[in-house]
Amino acid sequence: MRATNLVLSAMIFLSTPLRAPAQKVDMVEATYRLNWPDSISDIARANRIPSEEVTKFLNSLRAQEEEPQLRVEEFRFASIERGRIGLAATVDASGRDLFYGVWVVLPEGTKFRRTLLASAPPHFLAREVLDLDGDGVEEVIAKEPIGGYQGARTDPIFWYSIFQFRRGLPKDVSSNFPEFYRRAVLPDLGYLLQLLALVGNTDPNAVRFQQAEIQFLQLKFTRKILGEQDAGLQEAVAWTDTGDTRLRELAISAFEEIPGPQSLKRLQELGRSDDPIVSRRALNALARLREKGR
Amino acid sequence: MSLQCEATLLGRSFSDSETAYVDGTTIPNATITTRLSGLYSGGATPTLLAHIAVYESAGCYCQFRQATLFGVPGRWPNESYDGGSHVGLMQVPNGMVNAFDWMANTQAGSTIFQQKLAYVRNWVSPQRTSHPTLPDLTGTQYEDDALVFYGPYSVELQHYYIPNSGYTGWILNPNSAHGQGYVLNVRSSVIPN
Repeated sequence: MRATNLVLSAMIFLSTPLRAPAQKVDMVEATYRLNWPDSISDIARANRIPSEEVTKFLNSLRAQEEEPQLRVEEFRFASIERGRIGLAATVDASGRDLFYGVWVVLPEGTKFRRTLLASAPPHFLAREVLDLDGDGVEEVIAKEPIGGYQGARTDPIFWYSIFQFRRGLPKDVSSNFPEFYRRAVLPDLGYLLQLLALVGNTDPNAVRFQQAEIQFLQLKFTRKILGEQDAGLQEAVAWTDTGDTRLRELAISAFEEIPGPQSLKRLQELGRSDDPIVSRRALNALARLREKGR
Repeated sequence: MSLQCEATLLGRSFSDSETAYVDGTTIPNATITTRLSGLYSGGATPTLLAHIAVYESAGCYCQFRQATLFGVPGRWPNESYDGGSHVGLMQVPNGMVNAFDWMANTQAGSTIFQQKLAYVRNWVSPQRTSHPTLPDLTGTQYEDDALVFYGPYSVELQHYYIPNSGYTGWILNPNSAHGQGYVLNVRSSVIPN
């Protein structure tokens, strides 16, 4: 069993992503023409294009012939970059209508630049593509569950990332919008914590992970948006020591974001874990840090 | 389910209504495993659909789970976190049939997985035709790639394996960390007895 785990860990180490897995950008040609809006005043007309046409268009944007068929849940044209109108669409390729991503497509000459932002359902694009700073250009908000996808038990506790597009490329500008988190994200957490505490009174183990996810989210706000880089280090150490796979995965996410030798040492230890899920996550995190030169 | 009865007797009208709720029942684990293994009996990993069901149904390996709905406690369909867009053992799109008929639910999941296997075969085959030095994927490797496309990260359009630069073998795709993680989670799921 141990030998199997070592092999798995070694294999997965080799599978280190070369770029942030939450985004994928490529330049592709379209074989199906869509009547793209040519001005802001034309957006309302374009947003009434039948969904089937948008689906055909997105399926014609292929880097290779054998890509799976995409299904479109919702789409929206918007001024996604100054002077350029883009298309945002929630899409699925699983055949199960999971819709775990938002494709953003911007025309560029005769081609299109398409960006996938990993973003979990439920979606409502009117609340995900909007002009947060009032400059006339929409931001795109993507959300990912803190604990990752876990089938039916995925907890609806999300980290939100805010993107602006420049020259067709997404840039994470979340830290420019602390008020978004203070007013739209953090207030709900207090209520959720109270509910969890009620359940926890009779069965603390039943809600321990969800409480940790909320704590992770609050600490990530402190870390990423307020700039306190070490926020959450102690909590991550405590999660590591529990031996619980899911809590240790949360710890790995925190260690990856917290600079310094203590985080690195902990990640290296977790990379040697007998738990293949934990070791995979830790080794992938270490490899990403190496790419960033940390 | 609501029943409403109306009657008129001797010029007088009478009516009454009754609402009944239909919930589910416990399905023995062994019955579920037999069913899912039967749906994938020729596969490289015959229990693979059972592993998917364990992971997708949140470890409970259940079509129904104890909950209170409409104020009625019972074994209700096992719904996803987002208000129930997905349901049951295989977490396929919700609907009356997939929610209450576990045989239909498992069949739907199996059909989608088979479609993913076919898609992967159609992806591999022309590459082997163009590059005769490229070996075939093993049965387990086909499953790994199909699992990526059964899962949520299929939207990233990244295969589990890609050909090496010389087209003499397959390597792990460095851009498929999410999908590979999903595969590992599914394969690591323990099927309950």
